[in-house]
Amino acid sequence: MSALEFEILAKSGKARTSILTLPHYKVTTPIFQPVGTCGSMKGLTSKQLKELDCQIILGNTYHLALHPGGEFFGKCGGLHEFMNWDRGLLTDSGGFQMVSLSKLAEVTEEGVNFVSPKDGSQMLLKPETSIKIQNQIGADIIMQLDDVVHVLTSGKRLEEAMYRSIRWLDRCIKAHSRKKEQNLFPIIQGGLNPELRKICLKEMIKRDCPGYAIGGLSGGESKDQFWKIVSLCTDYLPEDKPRYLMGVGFPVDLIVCSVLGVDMFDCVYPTRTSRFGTALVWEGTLKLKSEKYQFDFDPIEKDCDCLTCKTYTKSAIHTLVTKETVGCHLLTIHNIRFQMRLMQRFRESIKNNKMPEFVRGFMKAQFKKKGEKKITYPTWVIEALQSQQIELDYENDED
Amino acid sequence: MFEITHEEENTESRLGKLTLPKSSITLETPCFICSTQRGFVRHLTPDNLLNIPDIELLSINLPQIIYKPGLTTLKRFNKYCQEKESSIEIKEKENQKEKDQEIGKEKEKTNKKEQEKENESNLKIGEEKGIEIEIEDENDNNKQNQIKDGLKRYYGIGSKHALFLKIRNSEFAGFYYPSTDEKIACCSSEGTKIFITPSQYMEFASEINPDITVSPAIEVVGNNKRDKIEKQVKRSLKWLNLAISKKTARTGSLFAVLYAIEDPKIRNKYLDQLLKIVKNGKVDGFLFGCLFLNESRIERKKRISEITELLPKELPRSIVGDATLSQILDCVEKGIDLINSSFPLKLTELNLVLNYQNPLQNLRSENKNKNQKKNKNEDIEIENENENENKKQFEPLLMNLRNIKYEDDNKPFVVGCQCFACKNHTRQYVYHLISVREMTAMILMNLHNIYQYSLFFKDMRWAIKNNKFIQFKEAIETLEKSNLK
Repeated sequence: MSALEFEILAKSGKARTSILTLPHYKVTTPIFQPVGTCGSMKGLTSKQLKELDCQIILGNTYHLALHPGGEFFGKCGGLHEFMNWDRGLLTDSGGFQMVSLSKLAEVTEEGVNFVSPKDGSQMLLKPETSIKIQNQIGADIIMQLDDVVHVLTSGKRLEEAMYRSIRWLDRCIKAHSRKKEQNLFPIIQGGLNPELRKICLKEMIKRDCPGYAIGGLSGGESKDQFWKIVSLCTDYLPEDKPRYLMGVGFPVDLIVCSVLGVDMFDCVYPTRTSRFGTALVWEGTLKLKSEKYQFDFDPIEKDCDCLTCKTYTKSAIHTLVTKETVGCHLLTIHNIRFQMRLMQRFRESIKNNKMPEFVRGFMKAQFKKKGEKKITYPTWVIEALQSQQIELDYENDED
Repeated sequence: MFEITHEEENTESRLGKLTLPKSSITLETPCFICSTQRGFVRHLTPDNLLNIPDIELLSINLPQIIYKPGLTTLKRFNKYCQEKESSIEIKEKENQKEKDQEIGKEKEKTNKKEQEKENESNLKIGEEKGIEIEIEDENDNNKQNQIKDGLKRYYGIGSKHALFLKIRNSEFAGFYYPSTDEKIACCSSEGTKIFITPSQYMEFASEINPDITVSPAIEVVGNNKRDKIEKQVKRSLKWLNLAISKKTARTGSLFAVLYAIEDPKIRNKYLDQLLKIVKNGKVDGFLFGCLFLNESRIERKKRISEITELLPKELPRSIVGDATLSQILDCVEKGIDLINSSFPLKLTELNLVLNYQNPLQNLRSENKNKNQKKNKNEDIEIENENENENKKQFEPLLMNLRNIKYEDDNKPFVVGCQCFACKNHTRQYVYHLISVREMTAMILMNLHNIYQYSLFFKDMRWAIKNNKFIQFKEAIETLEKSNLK
């Protein structure tokens, strides 16, 4: 049983653009989901988010469970009501934060035994509790609690984690009490071991869930292994269901993984770098704290339609960044808009049957350097795109 | 420029209209000048600022922008804008030439005649109302409202807001750096010591292109010895003359600084000399300095009234200081028109939300009822309504949103408030944001506090118009006292 509909509009190789109809909103994929940790997107109001064309945002169950708490959401009608956001919402299970933010997290078959760094109190997070809290929060898509291990783990522990995730998936499905309103996604585990991944894929696909997430990546592995595992998973996952790659968000990664068939992404990267003064542009990044922007009176990106680029120059942002909170808000607006436009242009390129040219142009802009006749691309990008018959352009014809 | 429209019967307060032609804005005074940090109302991006309808004048303190952006950046930026404008104009002229060649000469003539008629009718309307209307260009109707250069364009302050430029010396930042005959000592926002000469200040002003500039002066700080005070007062007159000589259309209207110091002899001597300069017609208003520096309320009132007695009525008066509601009313009672304060921001940073509660509600409805009174039955109904309103739950003037009692409170900050924060969000949401230290809490609270502050000013203007200033003041004072319970 699922509470979503997935309709593919156009394809280009493994890449596809589709409409994902969720209970609260219709989302067009491939889509980037900004992360609004505790129920708000660092300094942006819901109205501004709508103007940026955000269709679905992420909430972290761990933080929301600590404050205001799952029962609170049960009383007040869910996170949508609470933050006054009427579009799509996705919550993660809380497992990743618990492991990454705590020093002592003991994993047993029952659940994750967690010691809070603030007051030393113990908390047991079982699959059933995670699902219960997520049911109370009321997001359109919820995630299973998985046994999270560091991506470079191998051997017995990795295998145990993979099998346990499958068992926990069954417990999550059983505990899920709002199947008609919320979609439960499993998370494919197995580290960097293709055989384990295949077992996990086969088992989880048997459970016939509304969509699937690929987890256990984006944590320090080499990119060569990263893209191969992503490609393997998209080979096996059913075509008519959405695929969500967790934690991936650098622009180059977004495009490569969209070419390999992924539909949904999330990352804290754009919002986090804006607080350090970095702007994302077609050609890479701009560190606006640097003195060289003091007399630069062009907008950050000439063809960008966000508030920041229409009103401000790089020089103005340079004077504000890291000094006034407004500087951080303005850059956040631009960075999120950049990610949204990037995905939008990718979707259109598939519809217009020009996806390979789009990818070629984007990669060229990202990796070319002044003064070099030939462009050097990272090997993993070359190989990943070649696997989908996209050849890159090596000539640097300087404009 | 400034026109008094009504003088209150029982006090010296007055309603006025201040036109700022550069920004095509007409302000109704008494009004609020919102203080900014580096040209931005803290926490609010420009689209959020537009959610507060009544904020039209923003103040900038020069030391905050003296390094970044600084004079060279602004000069280069202005050049860049002018070059862009001229290249656009050249293109437009070329386009128009082509158009003219295409359209026949007869059509040109008819177009011109229609435009002339429009211009004549505009002028007639203008003459009736006493306001000047600029004749619109043939090509671009939006050219008037486009800000061409200066700090407004650099910081995207937009066509809805005007700028008020002032300079506060280092004592206000908590540091004492001695100023000299030639220079003012200030403290930049990075915390470093800077010296600005008055002519540098005027140069800055012409690059910033504000609507109002305050003349360079050192606002004397309280306990200085008599001869020091006399020196600084002499300096300010010298600098005022310098500012007048450098006054251009780009530096905007000039406001002179008044020294509301304790010693009446020095004060009056200074005022005599100042008023002689003012008679030449180059000074467009006044700024009261040396107030809100730990003097008592009664002392402040006394000093203000002693000065305003001697000032010409037709020039607007402004004051700078973090004033609470009743302190503002003290000033307005004695004839002050513009108040510059950062009081709402200070409340926000303490997580306090202003609940202004419309104390004039009863007075306003009484007025309406007097006009509509016909039946005795109606009177009884109206009395019952007022009683019900008074029985509403008591809510304090300032609500501390860190209090745990707001965890379950799903009302907006103030029931019935029309600000962006109250229309879209609840108290429990902001309580949650404050506890997890999210920035959005500050944005919503600042929006609300500034909005409520501007409602206070609206009520003040109504009270002056209907000659009920004293009742208004009493209502505000009871509100404030009730908050201390």
